[in-house]
Amino acid sequence: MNKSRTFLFYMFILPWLIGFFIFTAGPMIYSLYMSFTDFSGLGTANWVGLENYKKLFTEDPLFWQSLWNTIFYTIFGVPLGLVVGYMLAVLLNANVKFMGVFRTIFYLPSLVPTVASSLLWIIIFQPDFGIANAILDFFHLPTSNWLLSEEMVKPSLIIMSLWGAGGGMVIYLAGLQSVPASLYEAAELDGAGRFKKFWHITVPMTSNVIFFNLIMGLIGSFQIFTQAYVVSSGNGGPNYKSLFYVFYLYQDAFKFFKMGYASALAWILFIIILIFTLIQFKVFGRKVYYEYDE
Amino acid sequence: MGKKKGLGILVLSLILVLSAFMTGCSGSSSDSAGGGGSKDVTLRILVWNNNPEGTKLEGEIFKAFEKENPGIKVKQVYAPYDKFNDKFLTMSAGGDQPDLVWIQPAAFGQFVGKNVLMDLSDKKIDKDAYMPNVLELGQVKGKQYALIRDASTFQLGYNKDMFDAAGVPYPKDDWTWDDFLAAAKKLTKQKNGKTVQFGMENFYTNELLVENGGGFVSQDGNSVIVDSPESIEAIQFGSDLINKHHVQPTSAQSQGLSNMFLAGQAAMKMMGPWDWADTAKNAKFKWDVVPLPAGKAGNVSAAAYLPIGIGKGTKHPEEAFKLLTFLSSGKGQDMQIDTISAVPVVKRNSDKIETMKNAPENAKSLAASLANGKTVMNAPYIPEYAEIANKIQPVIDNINLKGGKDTEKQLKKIADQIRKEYNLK
Repeated sequence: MNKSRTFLFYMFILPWLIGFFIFTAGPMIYSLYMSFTDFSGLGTANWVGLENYKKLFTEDPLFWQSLWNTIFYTIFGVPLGLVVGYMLAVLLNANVKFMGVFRTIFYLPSLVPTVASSLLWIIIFQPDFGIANAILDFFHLPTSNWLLSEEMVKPSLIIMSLWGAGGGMVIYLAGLQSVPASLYEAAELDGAGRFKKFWHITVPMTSNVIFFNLIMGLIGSFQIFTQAYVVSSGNGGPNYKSLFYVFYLYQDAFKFFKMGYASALAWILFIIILIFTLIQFKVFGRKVYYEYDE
Repeated sequence: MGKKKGLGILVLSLILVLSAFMTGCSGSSSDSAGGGGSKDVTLRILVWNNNPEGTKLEGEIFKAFEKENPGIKVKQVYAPYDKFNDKFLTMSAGGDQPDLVWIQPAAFGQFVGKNVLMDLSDKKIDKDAYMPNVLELGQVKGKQYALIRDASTFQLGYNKDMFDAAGVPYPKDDWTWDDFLAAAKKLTKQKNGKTVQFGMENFYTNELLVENGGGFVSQDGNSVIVDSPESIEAIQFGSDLINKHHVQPTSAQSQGLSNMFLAGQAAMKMMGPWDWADTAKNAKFKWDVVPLPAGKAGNVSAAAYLPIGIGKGTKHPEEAFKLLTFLSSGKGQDMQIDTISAVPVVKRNSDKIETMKNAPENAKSLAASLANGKTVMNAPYIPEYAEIANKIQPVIDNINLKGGKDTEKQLKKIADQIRKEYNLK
């Protein structure tokens, strides 16, 4: 009986397994092989050993530039996104009239396709007649060139990403609603105030959701591409300050047709994300609470 | 019992997976066959949009070809100008290559280097039909990889009403950078500290370089010349137009705006004959054209021509060549004069420029520039050129953005970097 159950188990996940090996694992291994060649996407691939990796680390300033851009975006963007999303979720967890409407309003931006929202933000950030500068101007604050300024282009992209914080918010909301009310009641009896309840009950009880969003946010942030591609018209400007890692990878693969080189870039990114994720599990993993914990 | 049920589901799911694969495959193969049962051949030609009006009119030429060649259909596939080369190479790598392709001269060397174009050297080409030097534009190392459809150049289009209002005399065919700058200054108008009318929409760096005898890479493809004194002066002049004289909008001022010339926000604009139809239809003012102002190299401008190639992977080489012939030396050459105002490349139509449809008054200046060899080829046909240009452009963008205080230093730096990376002089 047990044996046939095992057999059935594998049979049932077979469609997924087939898909995984054909569409994910296969191409991954192929790209690992390609990263040791000079494959151009057209024609034949010649084995060049570690040449691609050597060039990346020693000769390519754009590799380091794009890596730095991505790390900057991640370090500031992900925590900000977490906080904003979480705060929105806490506010929208209150018992107020028309809560559904508010939740919809804050969730909607994350449904807008990235290309469309990026085009929208280009207009908002337009230095001459955009609304961002108009508002700053009204309060007599210094204005900015936003997406056209070397210093501000990354912060601008982070602001854009916060607009989509509603996506994480929904997951937080689900987490918040699963916190048992009895805990709050017990804490109130013990004389805990609002802040204490939030800090000692809400946050720990939803730590698994926060952790989930942290990891997903980090992985997503390392792969930022579309927004930067649209706002810089595909060139990563000004002065490569919005050339993110995957963006540069894309340029190498589909603009310069250096598929081998791009494959090497992809594998380095894979390893970077893996390391970051492992670090997070080590640092935060133990502090996370799961309901089904032993 | 339970076991049987499990097996049934298993078989069912396997069938589902397999059928998904099968439909996937058959779907794509019927796509590429095109005709769907009938014997018709469908040729796909990859093109970009110059402007909405031109694209619409372009279709009439293909319709005429279809009428003349029953059984062959032509389908235009569009890609935006700045993503065009990526798209063609991606389609080629993905086994979905279009049968014919428009080519940007700057990418010609790259295409040939990647071996994605068909060698046309052995085909029957009516060599005597073409004007001098036209066939050569489609050759790389002596082999014919493309035929030219139109050969022209950029000029400056200007808004006559604005010149009248500002009391500036119309530009002459032999004007210089100084004349241009003086006119542009008078044509720039401010209101409440904001510029409401610019003298110039956007002076392309490439044209400034040509007018001053500079460039990115020398035409033989051997040396980097972007840091030559002529190039530095040209790039500095372009930056000064924006940052010192304020006669051309900064990228901040023009971000999100398209065609400020037609919108009446700029008095002058780079313009080729392919823009005439669109301008004639949409301009609400009187306009004319004039050759580009002269830098150190005189009133010259970059040769703007359209090579068309055949994809190496085409399944219909004969039909594709038939269409290419129709476009580059056949009836298409006669039709394009009256529809899209594209300058013909065949001898029999060499006198038609001034009478082309939508031709402005001074169209004869274009004819004169072309006849007198005032156009300069400045995109060497080496495989690395597209990549090199891609690396230099951001530096120039940055100079234009930052005001160009260290133009020379920046250009020297990128030039040396490229010399080292691509082993050039």
